[in-house]
Amino acid sequence: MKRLLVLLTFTILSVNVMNAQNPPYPPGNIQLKIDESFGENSDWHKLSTTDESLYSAYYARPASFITGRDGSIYLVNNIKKELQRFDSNGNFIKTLAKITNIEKYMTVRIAGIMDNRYIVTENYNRLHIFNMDGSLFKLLYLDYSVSQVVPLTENIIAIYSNIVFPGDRTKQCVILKDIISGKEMIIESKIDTLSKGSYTIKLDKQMVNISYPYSKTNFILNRINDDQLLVGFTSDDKLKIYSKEGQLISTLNTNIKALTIADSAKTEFKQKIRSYLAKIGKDADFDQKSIDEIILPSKMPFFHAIQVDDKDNILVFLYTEEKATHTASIYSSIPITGQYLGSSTFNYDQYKLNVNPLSMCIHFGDKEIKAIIRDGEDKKSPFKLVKFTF
Amino acid sequence: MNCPNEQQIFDFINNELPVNEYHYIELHLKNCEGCKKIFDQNAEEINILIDSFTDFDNTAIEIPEFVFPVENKTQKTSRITSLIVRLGIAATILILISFSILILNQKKQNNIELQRIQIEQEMLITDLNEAWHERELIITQTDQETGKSEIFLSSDIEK
Repeated sequence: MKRLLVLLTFTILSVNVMNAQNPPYPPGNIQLKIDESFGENSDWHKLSTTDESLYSAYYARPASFITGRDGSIYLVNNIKKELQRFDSNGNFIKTLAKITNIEKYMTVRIAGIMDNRYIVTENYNRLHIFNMDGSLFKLLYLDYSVSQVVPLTENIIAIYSNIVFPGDRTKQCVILKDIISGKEMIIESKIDTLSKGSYTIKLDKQMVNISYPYSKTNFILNRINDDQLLVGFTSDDKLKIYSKEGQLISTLNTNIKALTIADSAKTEFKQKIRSYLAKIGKDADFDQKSIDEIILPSKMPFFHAIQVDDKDNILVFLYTEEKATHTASIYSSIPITGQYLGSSTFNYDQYKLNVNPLSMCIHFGDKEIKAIIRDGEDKKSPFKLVKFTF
Repeated sequence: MNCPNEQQIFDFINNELPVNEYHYIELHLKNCEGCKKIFDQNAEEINILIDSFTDFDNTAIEIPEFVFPVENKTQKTSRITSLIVRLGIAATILILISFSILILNQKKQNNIELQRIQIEQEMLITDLNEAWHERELIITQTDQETGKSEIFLSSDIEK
């Protein structure tokens, strides 16, 4: 019996060690190759917009997408304010819905699919919940602005909200909300100030506020293990997994080292501010010391995006100094405490890749990445869907 | 027999003479046509006068009782209520004007707030690592006289 127990323990340990030694993604550089046949039957110019005057206005935020269980792609076109459906090869099927009752200057984004039953989109403080055929099931108006929404299961959605109080205070919260009963539960919160990371220069007739945007986001949300919520803490080096009932399942310390902002980078930021002030004829008001103290911290946040692939591996994307690459620390969500699996750097030559989960989707099983790219170089269309393989 | 003067006849009509003088004039009037005319004339005038007095009495004009203008409780309450109503209307108008100004300012403020949230949300869906490489900053420029604000990314200035 004793021998059996020792053998079992050894076997379990061996499996764990083997897992740790075989990361799912190749360590080091992963060169992404574009699949030219993907979406070749879709007319991206016509689908995105034929109004070229809108190109620059929506250049940074043209569309967001998510893939369904059957591989179908559901895309929210922020230019036309439409919910569009594509097949798994990127070919346009049909426009499911026109998104109305929205704050037109705010970006409308897809939030996700719940139980293969509802498609959720979000716009400032409005959530549109569509049936899979595109008919509107419910329109929810929230009392607060929304930074991110993640549909979980059984009518529960997770919301990263920003509640602004009178004065300078804001409360950033992660809320679980039942879309039918309306019940809400705050599972994480952080009091912050609006003026954090911003510097105000008072000129003769003008006030200029310069804001350092990277420290403003405290949480990054994603869905994991089908119906659980992954919360990343950008000002900390940890991840937490919650059940849909709001119960903390596990906490994972990533041991990520935050990137130190080099003096050269600080000089570049200051140069940027100074050239702006020179442009409005006020460079004499440039106060280097205050900008150093108020705006520029010594370190960047620990990470800027989190992806969860189809095998529930967690890819935590780090701030890097190298351009046109994205480095991720990769963790497993199983065992429950999480496990560091390695680090990979994704290289792409031709296009600027946005690793935000609404702009990129990783299918580890098929060794492919689907992404929205801004096709700004040839000006044929503001965006298009592409597929990379690795 | 000497004729009485007109005053004596007048006093006779009014029965204001001593008894002996009264009887004397009474006898005289029976015998003197001239004095009888004066008597009839005066009597007629006096009757008219008496009749007019009678008419006056009959009209019985009621002089309203003079009431010193002291307000009773109801009147006072009514006056205070009226004052309150007027003050209320004035206050409401002032409050409405103040609120309108406040709402306009708030709307302006909300617009700035909306723009700020919008640009921060845009930052959330742009690639922050790329933004970091570009040394991206958010700039808000507010005209202090008009309150008009513009919010943009630093990369927009370079474009």
